[in-house]
Amino acid sequence: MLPFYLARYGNAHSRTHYYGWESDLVVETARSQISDLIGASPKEIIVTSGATESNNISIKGVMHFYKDKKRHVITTRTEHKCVLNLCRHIQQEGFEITYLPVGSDGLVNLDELRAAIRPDSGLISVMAVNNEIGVIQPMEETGQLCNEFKIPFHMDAAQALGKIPIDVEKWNVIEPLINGGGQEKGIRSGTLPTPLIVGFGSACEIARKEMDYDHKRITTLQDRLLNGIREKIHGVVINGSMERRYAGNLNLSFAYVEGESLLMGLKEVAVSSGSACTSASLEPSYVLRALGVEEDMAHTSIRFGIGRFTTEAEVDRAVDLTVKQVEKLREMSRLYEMVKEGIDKKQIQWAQD
Amino acid sequence: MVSSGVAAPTRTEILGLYRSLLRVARDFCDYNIREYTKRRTIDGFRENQNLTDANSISSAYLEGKSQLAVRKTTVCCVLSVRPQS
Repeated sequence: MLPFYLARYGNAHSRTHYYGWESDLVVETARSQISDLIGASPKEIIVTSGATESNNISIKGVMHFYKDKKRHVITTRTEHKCVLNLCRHIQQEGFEITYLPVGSDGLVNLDELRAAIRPDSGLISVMAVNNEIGVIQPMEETGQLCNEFKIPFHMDAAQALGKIPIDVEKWNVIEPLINGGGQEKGIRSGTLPTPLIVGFGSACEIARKEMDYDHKRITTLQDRLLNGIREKIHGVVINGSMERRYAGNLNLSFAYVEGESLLMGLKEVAVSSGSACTSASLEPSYVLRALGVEEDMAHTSIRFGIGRFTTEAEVDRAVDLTVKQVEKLREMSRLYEMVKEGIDKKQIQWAQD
Repeated sequence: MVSSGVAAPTRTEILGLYRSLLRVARDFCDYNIREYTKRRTIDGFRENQNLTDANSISSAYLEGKSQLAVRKTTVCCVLSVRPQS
């Protein structure tokens, strides 16, 4: 990326000089690196400013294009906020949206999806990996359904890219729209930011080469984290399916503990409760609510993220801090005392009732 | 397929590359990058230790050399500078 920030700053669209040709060349190389990672063709890559913009272009684009015949969109309750807001927005324009529920494991039910399809369904949008709980949706099967009914399949793969194998051809995903920026086939104009695209392309190539190695290691670290915590404390619930999961994303709820206090005790660990997008508010995560998690457990959920650079020492430290903080909070909790004595909170007759 | 006359690296060269890669890793002042770089080097060489075919050995060696160049550039420009706190 550095050369393109410092000296080789040609505009990739300039056709009349070497600076431009060179930028164009590296951008095309990046397109191949990106398309190799997802099983697409380089010509299908359109570069935008981010996943939010890409989702806007795809969903609004497709629905507005087919607005005469297709008035219905199917998506899930656990999609990223930007997709849900988008759907709400086009609902106001008169489109109808079906928000499919998910099971307690966070997964979409394929029979329910099939039943929701109508003759005027114009798009099905399902995210590959959920950013809050890490579950992997049945993408190949969804793609097959979309192919069967000839409905475009929109997949938000922002969390999945480079971490799990993606094959847009096999999964029947429509024209992939991925990060970057550009004049792309008239769909999205604006000068291409060459250094960003070059960096993104290289990142995709590295991700493709390192995916197996990283995945094995991250899975081992996840086991270390989970077992380490469960050996020392009980009342730990995993939110979302363990079988269909990206190992680097673990969302746990700790019973009888208050969420904000837990987070404050874990300041040394870069964890979050809910996702970054909703962390400004204290509202419990809509994703956990969709899983049917009770409000008190949803408030106490923590998302642990493990990546290529995480070390064993860091995982051990996270285990230590989490266990200490949970034990400390439970010690102070009257509610927990009652639980230990065998009192069921739900059976209590409060004086106010 | 015969490679274009480039001989496979010797044991000395391979060990030299290994040591250089680890030495450069020490210069990263970021803990995570430093640990990753050491670990990936060790795992990478371990993974390839049983290669017998001259072509694969050469290409693994060249890959290692290019990684060394990348690390040297990165250390030089970016990650050996401590952020001012």
